[in-house]
Amino acid sequence: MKIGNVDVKVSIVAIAVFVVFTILLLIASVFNPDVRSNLILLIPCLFMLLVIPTALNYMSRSQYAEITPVYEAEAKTVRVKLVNENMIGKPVRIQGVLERVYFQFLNRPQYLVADRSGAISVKMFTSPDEDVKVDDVVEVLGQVIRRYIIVGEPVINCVSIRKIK
Amino acid sequence: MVIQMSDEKTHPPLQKFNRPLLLLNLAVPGFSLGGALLAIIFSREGSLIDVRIFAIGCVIGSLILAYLAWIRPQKDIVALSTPIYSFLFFVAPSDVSVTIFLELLYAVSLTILLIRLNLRFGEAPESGRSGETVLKDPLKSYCETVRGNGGEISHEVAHFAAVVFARFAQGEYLAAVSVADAATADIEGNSTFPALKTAFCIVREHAILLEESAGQPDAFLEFSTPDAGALAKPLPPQNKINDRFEVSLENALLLLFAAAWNGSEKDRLLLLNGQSFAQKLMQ
Repeated sequence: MKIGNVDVKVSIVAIAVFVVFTILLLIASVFNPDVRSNLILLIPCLFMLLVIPTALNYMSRSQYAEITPVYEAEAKTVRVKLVNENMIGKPVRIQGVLERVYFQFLNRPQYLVADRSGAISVKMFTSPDEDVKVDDVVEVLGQVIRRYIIVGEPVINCVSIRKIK
Repeated sequence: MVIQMSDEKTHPPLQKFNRPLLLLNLAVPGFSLGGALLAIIFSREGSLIDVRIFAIGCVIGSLILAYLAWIRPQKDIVALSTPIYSFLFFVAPSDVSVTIFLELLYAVSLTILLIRLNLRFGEAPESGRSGETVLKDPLKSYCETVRGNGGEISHEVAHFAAVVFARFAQGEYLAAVSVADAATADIEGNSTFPALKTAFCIVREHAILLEESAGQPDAFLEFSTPDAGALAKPLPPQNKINDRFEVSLENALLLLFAAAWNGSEKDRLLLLNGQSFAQKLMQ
C-alpha cells in the first residue's frame, strides 16, 4: 500500500491479530446481545489494530526515506572486516552477499551480510524499501551500533538495503 | 563485482577453566539443582520448613550464570536475562508442588544454558572483567616478534603509529592520512626499520581510498619480500590480487600497532581500546 511516496507494509503478525480479533468479535456478537449493542465502539477499535501498525510503519518508513540521502552522502564504503567497536556511531556503506534473513515477517528484519573479508549482522527497525532475498548482492547503508545498545559486538543499524545486481 | 561468501562460522573450542571460573561454572548447577533437590527431600519428609525457600538456589544460580555471560566479550542475552525470569518464577508465591516442579525444570534449563554459553559464546577473560586491560595472544606474540625483528624507532614515530592505527580504527580516515604524512616525514632517511615507513604509506593509501569510497585500484602499495619477517601475515601469491590488497592493509595496521605498543608506553591505553580490531585483523 502506497501513502504518498511511502510504500507502507503491514506485518503479517498485525494482520493475524486483526483476523483473530475479528473472528472473536463475530462469534461474541452472534452469541451475546450486549456485544452487539456495543459494536459501534468495538468495530473502530478492531480497525485500530490495523491502523496503528500501518501508521507506525508509515512514520518510520517516511523518516528512513528522509535520512537515507544523508547517509548516502556521508557513509564511507568499508569492508566488513574494518567495522569494529571503535566505529560505533559512524555511518557506513557495505556491499556483500546476503547470507541469511531473519524476522522479515515482523517488519523488523535482520540480515547477515558477507563480503570477502567476513560477515556482519545488519538490523533494520522497519520494513525495507526493496525486498531482498538470500544470495542477493546488496548494498547496505547504516550506522555502526552495538548489538544490545551498550554491549555486544558491532552490528549495522540499517537505514537502506538494496540489490546492486 | 566478484564477492565471495565468508567462511562458515566456527564455534570456539571448549575453554580451559581457571580455578575461580571453574567454581563459578560448577556453582550454577550446584545452587540450582541443589536447591531443587533439597526442596524435594524436605517436602518428602514432611518437614515444617516452607520448601519454596529453596527456590533461592535457582535465583543465585541464574545470577552467577548472568555474571558469566556478562564478563564475556560476546554477550548472551538469554543467559543475561535469566535473573529476571528467576525472580518472576519464584518471588510470586504458588503451590508447593508447582514450585518444586518449576524449580527442577528451571535448574535443568540453567545447566543447559551454561553449557550453551561455554560452547557458543567464547572464553571468559581470566581477570573476570570484560574491560581490555592486557594484550592477548596472538597479538601479544606478534608484538614480541616485531620487538625482536624490528629496528630502533623513536617515541615520536611510535606515537604517530598509535594515532594512525586509532584514527583508522575509528573510521577517521582523513585524520589518519594527515598523521601518516607527518610520520613519514619524520622517519625520512631512517633506514633501520623500512617496513614501518611502508606501513604508514599503505595505511595512508587505503585511508584515502576509503575516504573517497573508492574501490580497489589496479596498482597499489605493498610490502616487499624482505619485509615479510616483520609482518603478521604471509604475503599472498602474486596471482591473488584481491588478497594482496587486503592483506597489505592488515599487515600495515598490525605493524603500526606492534611498533606503537613496543615504542610508546603512554599510548598503550589507546591501543588497548583498539585491541579487538587488531585481533580481528590477525584472524
